[in-house]
Amino acid sequence: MVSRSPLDEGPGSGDQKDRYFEGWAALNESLRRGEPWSGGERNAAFLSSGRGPLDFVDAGPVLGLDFADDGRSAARMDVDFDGDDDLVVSNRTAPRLRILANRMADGAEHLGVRLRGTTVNRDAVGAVVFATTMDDGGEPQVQRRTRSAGSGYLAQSSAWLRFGFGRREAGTRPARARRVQLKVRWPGVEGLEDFGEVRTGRRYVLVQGTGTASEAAAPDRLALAPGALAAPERDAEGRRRLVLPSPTSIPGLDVRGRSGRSGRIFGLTPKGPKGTGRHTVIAVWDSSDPAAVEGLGDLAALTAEAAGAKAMLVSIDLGAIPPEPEASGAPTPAPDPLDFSSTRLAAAGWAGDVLAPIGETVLILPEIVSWRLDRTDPPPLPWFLVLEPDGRLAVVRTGPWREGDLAADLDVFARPLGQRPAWSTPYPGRWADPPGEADLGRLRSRLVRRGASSASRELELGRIKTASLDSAEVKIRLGRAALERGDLPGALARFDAAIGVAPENALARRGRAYVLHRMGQYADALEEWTRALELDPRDADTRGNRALAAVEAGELEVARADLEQLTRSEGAAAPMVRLLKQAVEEASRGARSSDGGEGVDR
Amino acid sequence: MLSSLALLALQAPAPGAVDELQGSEAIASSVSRVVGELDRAFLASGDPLAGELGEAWVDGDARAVMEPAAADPSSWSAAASPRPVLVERSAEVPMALDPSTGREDAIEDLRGSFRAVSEALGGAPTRPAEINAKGVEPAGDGAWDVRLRVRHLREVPGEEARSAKSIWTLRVSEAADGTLVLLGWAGSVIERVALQGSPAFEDVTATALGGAPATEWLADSIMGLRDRLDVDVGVGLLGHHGVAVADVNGDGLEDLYLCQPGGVPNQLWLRLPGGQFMEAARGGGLDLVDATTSALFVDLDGDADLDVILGLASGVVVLARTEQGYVEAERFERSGITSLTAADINMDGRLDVYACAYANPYDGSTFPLPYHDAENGQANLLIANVTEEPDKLILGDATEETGLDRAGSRFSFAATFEDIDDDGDPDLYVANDFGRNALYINNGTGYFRNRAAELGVEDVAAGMGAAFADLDRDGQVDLYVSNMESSAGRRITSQPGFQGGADEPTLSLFRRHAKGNSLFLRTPDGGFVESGLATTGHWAWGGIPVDLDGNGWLDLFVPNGFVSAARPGAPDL
Repeated sequence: MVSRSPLDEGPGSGDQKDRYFEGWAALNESLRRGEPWSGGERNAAFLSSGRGPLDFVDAGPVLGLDFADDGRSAARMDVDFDGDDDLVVSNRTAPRLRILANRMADGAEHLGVRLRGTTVNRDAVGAVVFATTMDDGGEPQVQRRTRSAGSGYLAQSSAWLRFGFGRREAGTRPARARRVQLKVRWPGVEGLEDFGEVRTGRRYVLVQGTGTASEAAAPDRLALAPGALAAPERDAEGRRRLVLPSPTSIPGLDVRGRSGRSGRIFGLTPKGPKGTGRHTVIAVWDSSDPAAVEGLGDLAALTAEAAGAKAMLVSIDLGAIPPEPEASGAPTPAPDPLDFSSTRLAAAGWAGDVLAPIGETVLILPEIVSWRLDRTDPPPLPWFLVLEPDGRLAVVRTGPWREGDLAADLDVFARPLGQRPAWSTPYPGRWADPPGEADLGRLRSRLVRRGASSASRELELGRIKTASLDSAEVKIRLGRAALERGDLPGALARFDAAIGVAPENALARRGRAYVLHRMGQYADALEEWTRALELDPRDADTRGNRALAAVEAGELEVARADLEQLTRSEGAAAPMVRLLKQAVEEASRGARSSDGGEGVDR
Repeated sequence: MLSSLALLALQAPAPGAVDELQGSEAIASSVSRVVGELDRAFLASGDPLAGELGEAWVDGDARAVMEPAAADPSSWSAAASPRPVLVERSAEVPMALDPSTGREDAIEDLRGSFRAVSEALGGAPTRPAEINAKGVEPAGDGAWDVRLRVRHLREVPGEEARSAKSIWTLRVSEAADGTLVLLGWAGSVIERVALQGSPAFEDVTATALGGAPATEWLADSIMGLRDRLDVDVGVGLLGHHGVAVADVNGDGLEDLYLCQPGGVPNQLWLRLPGGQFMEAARGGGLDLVDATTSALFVDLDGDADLDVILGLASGVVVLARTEQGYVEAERFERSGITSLTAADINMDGRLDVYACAYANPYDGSTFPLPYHDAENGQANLLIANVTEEPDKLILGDATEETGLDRAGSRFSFAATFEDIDDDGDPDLYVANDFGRNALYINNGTGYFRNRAAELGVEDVAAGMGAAFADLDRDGQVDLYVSNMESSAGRRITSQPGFQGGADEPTLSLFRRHAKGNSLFLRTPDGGFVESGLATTGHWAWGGIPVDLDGNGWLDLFVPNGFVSAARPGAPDL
């Protein structure tokens, strides 16, 4: 994909950019399918050689630090109070947290220092500590540490600055603690404050201006036995329950019943979503799978629960392919596969509608489930969609139904909508910025890709219903909808209204220019295209359209200048440039031949 | 960000070159797979050729490599080693085949390379090797030389843990039926590392946190959570949740705050006097369920308790620590907040906050353009602190006034303050994905100018993490930047067909993108020099300096890996 990247940010070659974006789209789909990308890579631990010229070796494997996690954020912390730095690491993979106790530095001498500012910020962030010892040859050895707040990636490490002094050489007598001289440079303060000599194996607090290191009591060392967090077991039956933080409209589902009658259930109307007036459970399954009925779980319990709650039950059998239209003279009509479905469901205790998908329904249902899981493909059947009485989708379940499932969902539905986000996760906490309405645009894009054009048009309408009617965005959408209907005056009124709300909105200007252009008001269109171009000078389509309007309005100089610029930015081979060139040339010839004609007349 | 066959370009100007690019990638990937099979056979039976491949894949024309000049064990040289770790290094055997040898000799080379690993480890490896294809080069007559970096580990209780790093170069070609055949094998163990004594690090998470229910929420992977929660709950695909260590309740013991994906409340693990951890986010009002990337606990109002800044998907939320617990004080809308860092930029005694923002191409909202130097991302945020009274935080967006908007709207993952020029004020480094980084030098009043280019630290790459520390102990701070290292990226960007038509400086920027981590050492003249050390880090995130062995020299711990398979066995892209 990187090799598809256009080399600069300019408009460039549209084709190259498209290929680059396609590369990203392919990558994103792949990641959502759960495919790896630079996965299973082990963490690195570069140990400094500690002598001679600076050198490092990745000792991760022998140190036990090279977990093959998708590691992210790491911070220092003395977890076991033994004076050295342990590590806290967050991961994308399970377990998402590792606390790694440092045993390696256990035999080394340490010193811990905390700082407190008085004239500078109280946390003393930005202060630098210099710890000096004398080596065996009497040479000063300095360690420099800065009190920082936030470094690495998404990490804040311990406020304790730790200094290590290694182990005594083997065979040497265990000596008294080493003496270390501490000096601090406070942020923005000239010079160093001398805190005198302290001893290793202890912890000190240095308060700005006191010149004295106060020893801080150290907590007792903790012995922490090894033990990683165990990854949870997956549900073997594939049972999931997704509670939407905000119920969402879904496109209408075209279905037929055993009687042969067909119709549309749910969906969006100009007045809003269409429901059954009751809570409804749609069970989606495939009767062509021999184990499908068992896979649906406890249908008798579902039927009983639904009856008790006056909820409606609908099954949609994706395997019930409608019988082929009878060839003339066929001896016997093919049996309706729904008869088979119905018998099997009834035997399992189901008492509800038995339907088969027709039209786009077979495309829509998997996309709804995949959309809520943000996946490319849906998990295996069965799926249960639980809808509000007004027809909005509130819960998606997969895997077999169990007794009590509906009661759990109805319990959630009884809460005010504003509390729904709290029920969308099993983990209690508070939202600072609760999720808003579901993004029907994403479902729409999915449906467009699947070729479900009627459902995607329906969702376009849904997006208008869900957005604020005062916004320019809505007015622009309404304008576009009017354009699709061919209602030019209606569209113009909508775009005018959008410009009234947001005069600097290039989309609204473009919409208005387009309508004027279509109406044949080329001079006005030229003016409006020019405004749109001022707001978004890089938009090649706008420039192309302006040039076309300029040709029609007889402003050939404007058209030629635009053509020149587009040829530079888009290349002479771009279809728009070729079209425009032809138009400009024809207009130029027309101008010349009419001049010549006049000459002949004269 | 560099990719694979699946995403490899159909590069306009040179279709032949593209075929070659795809061909070489296919070879690299096949060779890695084959060597993985050999390694598994070796682990299982002690003979790499005992598996399904057998000797059949060694071509009849295969030959042994030239005898290296010094192949005896005395060629090992003990590198300066940080005790208790012993490091030895040896030279690499070059790929040069000896025409006077035959197929059996080539087979002996292959087996010999595995034997050498066992010898270096003092026994058989105890887990499958890590294999990275470092390069692919045409070797004439349709053959390819594929250079692999291979790492083995032997870890047996009661013994020294030992790792061995090998360079194995395989000359291969494709047989008429498309299968891979071996023409020659040059292998050498170039580094062996031994740890004397007991385990160096142990995962103690479960013991430390005890059996609290909240630990269960940490145990599941991002893909596991995404599989159980509705998309709008906000479990991001890539798992960007940070950690913060701070004495949140002011009892003298540092606590642990864990940012969490959407739907999982952030966790505050307080340390009790006996050292036990207790999860207490709810009581403190810190149990936000919003997708949280980062948290920074600092005292913004100088009242001796820690306020907190949280980076959310929707912006920055600042909570003041008051007697009533944590209370929301301010909110700054900006999507995709990543790292946070704080310093007093204008020396008024109050800490200011810098927040990075990342326009996320992985959710399809923005794609970096151009890939190697993109400025179509998000503007970062400098939050100036002008608080006068305790608990009454007054904060404002001062990004523009401080000059911190000058390096453009990029894709920022990390930032950190440090007084790099020792003039008493904090300077700021910002690591960006898809392009160059910024080093903002403070003029002493809190106004910054980006001088990354002139100081040699632009580090055009996929920057993920940044940290300053005096690594060479010369008294001045050095800079470590965590970047992406992609073997595939290195291979692809080095091929002749890559980005046909691009000039050399652009190509070198692309190549650098896959190079790996950068260690910049501060020089006496005030600049930085790139050391080339501690580079190989895979796809690195938040590398931090930390003295792992307590000898006073800072080491570097680097978490790695982008996206692992949701289910085992899926091939890596």
